[in-house]
Amino acid sequence: MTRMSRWALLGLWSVFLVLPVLATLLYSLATVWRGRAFPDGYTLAWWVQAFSEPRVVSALMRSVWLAVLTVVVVAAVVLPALYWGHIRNGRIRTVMQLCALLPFALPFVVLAYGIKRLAGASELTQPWESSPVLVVLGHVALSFPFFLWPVDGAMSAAGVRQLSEAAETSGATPLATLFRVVIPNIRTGILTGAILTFATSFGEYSIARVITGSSFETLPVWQVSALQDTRGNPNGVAVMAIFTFLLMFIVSVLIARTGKGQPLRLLPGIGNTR
Amino acid sequence: MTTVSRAVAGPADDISVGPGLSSAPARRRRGTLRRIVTQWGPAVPFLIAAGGILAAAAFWLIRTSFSGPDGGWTLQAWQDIFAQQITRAAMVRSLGLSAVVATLCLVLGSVLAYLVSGLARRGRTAAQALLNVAANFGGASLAIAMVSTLGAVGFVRLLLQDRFGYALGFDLYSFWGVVVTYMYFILPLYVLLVLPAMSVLRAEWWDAVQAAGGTRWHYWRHVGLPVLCPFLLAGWVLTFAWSLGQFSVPYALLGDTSATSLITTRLGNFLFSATGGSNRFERAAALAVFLMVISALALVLYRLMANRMLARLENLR
Repeated sequence: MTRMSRWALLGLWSVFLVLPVLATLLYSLATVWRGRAFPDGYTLAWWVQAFSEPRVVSALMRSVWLAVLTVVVVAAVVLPALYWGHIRNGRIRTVMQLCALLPFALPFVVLAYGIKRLAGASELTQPWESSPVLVVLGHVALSFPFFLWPVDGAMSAAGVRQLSEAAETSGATPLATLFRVVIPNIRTGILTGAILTFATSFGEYSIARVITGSSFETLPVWQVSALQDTRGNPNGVAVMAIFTFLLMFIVSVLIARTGKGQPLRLLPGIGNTR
Repeated sequence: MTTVSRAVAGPADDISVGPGLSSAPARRRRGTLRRIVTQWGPAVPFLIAAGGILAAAAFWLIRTSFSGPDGGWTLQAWQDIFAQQITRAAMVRSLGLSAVVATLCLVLGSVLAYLVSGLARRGRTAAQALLNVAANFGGASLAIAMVSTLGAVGFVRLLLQDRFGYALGFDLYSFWGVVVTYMYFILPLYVLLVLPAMSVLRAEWWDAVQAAGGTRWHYWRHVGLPVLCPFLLAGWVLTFAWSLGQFSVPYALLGDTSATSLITTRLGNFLFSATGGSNRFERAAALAVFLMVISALALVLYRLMANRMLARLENLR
């Protein structure tokens, strides 16, 4: 393939990737835009308006705390299990790797409906059938693989078993070993995992929509209902889309920074299960 | 690993031997229990929160899909989803859409991944970071961006109309509209998936083909493609499953109109609209199980291919 056609192909693809972002950005800044190639004028009014609308702000806050809570729960649940899998019982790791494939076999909307039905099945859990608690649980169940993979890789790379053995021989308690030896050595992996988990949870629509109907309005739930509302405000919708895009951009830059240019291991279930 | 676990399990057994009050089998049972706790203890919260809930949810959906109005077993829901014209059409459309998207990714994405792998190191890192942004830019925001670009008053449509006087005939709210929208985030995902495989190809092989008087075509036909084949097919399978399970993008774009419904939006329709008939929740469960079975099959296939890929990588390195 010649140099020309190589750059032409990559260039066309870049245009395809950039155009929608550009169009949304223009919509979020346009004063009036009717029938012309470009808007008549530009304004920041839509941004001010969107971020002062109580409904949007509360949806945004809900999404943020939901994502933060998901990261905390995922870390609390995955870290001890993975640590034990590395130092004591290798079979835990195999089981975890297999569990991490389940969210790929269960489309998110299916998973959401399954969790809802499951909670509704018994008297004890029925009051929670459409509560935010269940949404957190759903987000944990679908986003933990994004935490598991980088942390597992970091633990292997840091040689966690040798580290803990050395710490134990020096007389450190297991908890001290975990917090003062292991975690400082796998900080990069934990950071990458936390960022990816946050991003996954932040953008997730189906779990909140299916479980709570529209009583627990996260940002994506608001976005879809605003998009489908014909009397809605298209510029405000564009503002929040660009905001989400910026957030994803920052996330990606952060990951590229912390990973120091290593390729992201997105390939699920490949490697170190042996 | 096994030697370590035995060394830990051993003392645990000894400690559990009580002051001689309990019988030998009871003692052994307690020993086993103790061993299970020391071996698996810290993993229990994970196993419940992640594995347990996923597995129980899947199991309960299967049970619901076979349950009748009185809680007994029936095939009614399954008969209904296959008998209903709209739902059957949605299945065909969903499978077709996923096949088209996965095949386009296989053809375009493989070429693009090869081109990206040929960039200099800095360029490749930057491309990876940007592709990661695009791959994560799914869901509601992407639907909004596509409407702003190709919708009724979208940027591209206005630009073509105003500057070139060309009326774009493309309909975003159609089968091909959804294909284009999916390509925005699934193509980068595919490229990121198969990018590591490109490092398997070696410059020496091209030299060898040239030395034997071969052309680029010979190289790809007899060396490049056969080597990459399992990686690319695994990417196809994963992309297929991924597009099949998409809900937020088509639901945001199409709502639950019957003209272009997919399995997932049909499922949403059963769940959200009260006009779905008496057993709509059971039918939703049946549809969910249908999706789950296809995705699970795709995943098993992917695992098989992944194992072959690993073997191949070991051979080559």
